Amino acid sequence: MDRLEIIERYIEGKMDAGEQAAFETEMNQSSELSRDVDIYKKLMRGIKLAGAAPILAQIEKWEQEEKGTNGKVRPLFTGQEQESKGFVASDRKRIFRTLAIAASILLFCALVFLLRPTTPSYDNLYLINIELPQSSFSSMMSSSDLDTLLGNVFNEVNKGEYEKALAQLEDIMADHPDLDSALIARGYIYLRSKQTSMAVADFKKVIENKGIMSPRAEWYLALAHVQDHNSEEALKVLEGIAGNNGHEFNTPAKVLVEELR
Amino acid sequence: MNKFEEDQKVLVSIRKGNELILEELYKKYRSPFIRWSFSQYTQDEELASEVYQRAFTTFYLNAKSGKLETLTSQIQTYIFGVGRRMYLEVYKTEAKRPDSLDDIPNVEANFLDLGFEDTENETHLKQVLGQLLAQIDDTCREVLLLYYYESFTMESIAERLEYKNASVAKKKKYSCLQKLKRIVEEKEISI
Repeated sequence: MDRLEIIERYIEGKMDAGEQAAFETEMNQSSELSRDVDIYKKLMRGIKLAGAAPILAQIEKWEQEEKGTNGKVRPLFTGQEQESKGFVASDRKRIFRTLAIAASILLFCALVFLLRPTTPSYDNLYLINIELPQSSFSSMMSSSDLDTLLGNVFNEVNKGEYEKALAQLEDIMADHPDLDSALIARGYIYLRSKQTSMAVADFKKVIENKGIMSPRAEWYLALAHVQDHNSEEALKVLEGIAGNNGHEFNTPAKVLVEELR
Repeated sequence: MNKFEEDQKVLVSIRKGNELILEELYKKYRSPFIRWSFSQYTQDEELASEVYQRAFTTFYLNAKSGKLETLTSQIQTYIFGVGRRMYLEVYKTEAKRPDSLDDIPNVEANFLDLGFEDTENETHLKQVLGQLLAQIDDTCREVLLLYYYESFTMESIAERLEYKNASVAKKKKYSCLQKLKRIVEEKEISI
């Protein structure tokens, strides 16, 4: 038997009592053997520690996230955020020009956060990690009637009052029937309420509009098909996303494709 | 699909490296675990949080390595079971209060030697080996990590890396270990 194999058997505690005693006697008589055992023991231990390092770091990160958010309600936005981004009266024209985009992103971010389940079921696992970067969120804040209306929608959604939220969305959509953010928000509520066919219709409209929310609508459309147990349609959409490396949901789509297959 | 079947599917996804699901699980069971800890073992949130991290990591490592291949309980029960053993280890005696969760099994979880001790030596060893592993070839690194970190058998390693048999894979492993030892000795690295 190879010397290293014997050393490993000793380190891993695989020797019987007699073999172990004999080996320890040999170690006491040989400083070289004793040193080798010490080095290999540390190498083996170190490999295990080094291998575990990435997942331990990841878990620590999740723990810090949980400690930071658990039991607290994250504000949608604050006055300080606006000031820190240098928003002044002269920016108003630019703000209003980007109102539709801002509203879309604002609504989407808030809904994703507010609707994120605290104890999700397996079905909801696919709804995680879809928040926009914070920079996109805070840099496009504006105050407007539409914002106020959307804020009311967020509050209702936060309380689980989907019907009220939908009624308010209806008011908003009376003046803004093609507003992607409203469509995707309504679709999202339908999706969470298991009214899948209506969710699909809204997501398809957003995709047809080919606006900034289109990639997200594709992702949600796929989720709707998954929820509807329509793997064939889900895969069609997901494969399109997975085949587009620039798509923001490329990675989760690949995972989901693998799951469905 | 019932909960048990769902969990089995989750286990397979984790084994495939699905970190989205892993993160969701971590966050899903954290609060229930902390509440359960408060009711059974401790009022110290820091301790409960640390035990949860360790229990969850043990679950992950066992799932990844294949030690936990088939669930005999739900994932939540498994994690709580590991946590329970850890608390018993912490207190060295049976908990004073009765355990109301009768379905928490004494799971076979190799958590005591996973290396979470944040001692100076362990931290040093982790850093040094991280650097040493970066100095050897990819195959060597993979063989060593599969065996010593992921606890693969030599048969599994041979199959995965397409060696002729376990014996060939084992020789490769020893050769890689010797390579690490040579680097340590030649560069007089303190480990």
